[in-house]
Amino acid sequence: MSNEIWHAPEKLLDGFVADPGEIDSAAAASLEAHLLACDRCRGAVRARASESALEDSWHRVVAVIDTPRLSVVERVLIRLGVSESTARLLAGTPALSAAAAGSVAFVAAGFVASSRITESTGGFLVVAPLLPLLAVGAAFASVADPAGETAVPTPLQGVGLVLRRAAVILTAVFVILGAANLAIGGAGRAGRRMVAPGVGAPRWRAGARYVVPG
Amino acid sequence: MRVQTDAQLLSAISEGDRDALRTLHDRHAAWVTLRLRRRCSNSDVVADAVQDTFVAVWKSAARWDGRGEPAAWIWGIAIRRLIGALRSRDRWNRDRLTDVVPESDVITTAEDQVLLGIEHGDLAGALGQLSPELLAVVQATVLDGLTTREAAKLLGIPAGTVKTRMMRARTQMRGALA
Repeated sequence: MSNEIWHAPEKLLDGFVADPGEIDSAAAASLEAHLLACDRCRGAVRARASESALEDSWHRVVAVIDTPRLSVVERVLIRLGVSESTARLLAGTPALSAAAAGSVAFVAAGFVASSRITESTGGFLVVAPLLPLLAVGAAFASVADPAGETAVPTPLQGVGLVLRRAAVILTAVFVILGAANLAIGGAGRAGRRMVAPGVGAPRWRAGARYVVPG
Repeated sequence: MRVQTDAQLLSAISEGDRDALRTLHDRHAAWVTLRLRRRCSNSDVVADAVQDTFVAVWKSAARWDGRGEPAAWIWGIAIRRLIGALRSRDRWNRDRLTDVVPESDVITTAEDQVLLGIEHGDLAGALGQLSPELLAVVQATVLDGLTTREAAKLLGIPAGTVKTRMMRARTQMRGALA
């Protein structure tokens, strides 16, 4: 093939690298076709390119390929309609979820124990809904929150973050309480009531109901 | 150090070798960028397309069938990514084709082969007589190897128009080269 003997002249390469338009269409097309097949001329073009532009270009590629793949939790959350950034936020704090789940489990265990011992769940029910939310609040202490430092300067911090985390913890509460309800059998109705304040039922009402008959 | 061929780099990339991708990028990003710049005057769009191209190479290096020039394969991705980048930017963005033209290598039909298997000098003269609109179509379909539909997307014109312009370009060039 002619490529073995022909290589693009310096002047043509210079014109090609300079702002488009310096060489005519036919010459450019001819060079472009040659470049597909000629390592040496590609190298010559490369040698004329700006190092910093190539570096920028590479960093842009790296930025994309280094973006971690979505975890299973994130994908499930996104499937459920959670926005991508929120899913990342929730899945990105595994230590936090473990702590939250632990505290909720503790509360549920206390609920089961107190209902077994006292035959009445009233007093406990008043306090119980507050405990998971206490955990949410505690999650803001910098000691407890591994993501705290990064959360502070973000636009998500504050009420929005509290609500998102509360939603996660309440979801966990539902699962654990469901199991707890099965464990205590007859007190199941009370167990459901316990959750009521957490999903928006006025607390005074929940409190009044449980405390008075207790 | 032993120099790896592009084909070897691609097979290393398909196994997740980032250094191989870096080397491939270093070899090819410059000319791909310049060639795309001749088809789109907006350097941001071109930068997006180049980025997408090498990300696509990273993800689908395993799909390279091992035949032909890796450079041609990369270019095939790049020109389509440019179309994608143009479309996602702005469907009615007018800063697309700035320049044009055909030549050998990516030719598909026998007719194109006849049309373009000619000395560069004559070809340049024949191409020079084409209107910018016809040149753009010849470049997209013949040199860049795009389908009629892809060329239509790149140029922002209906596919039917691409076909009629290509026909007119052939007729005109045959006349000029006869």
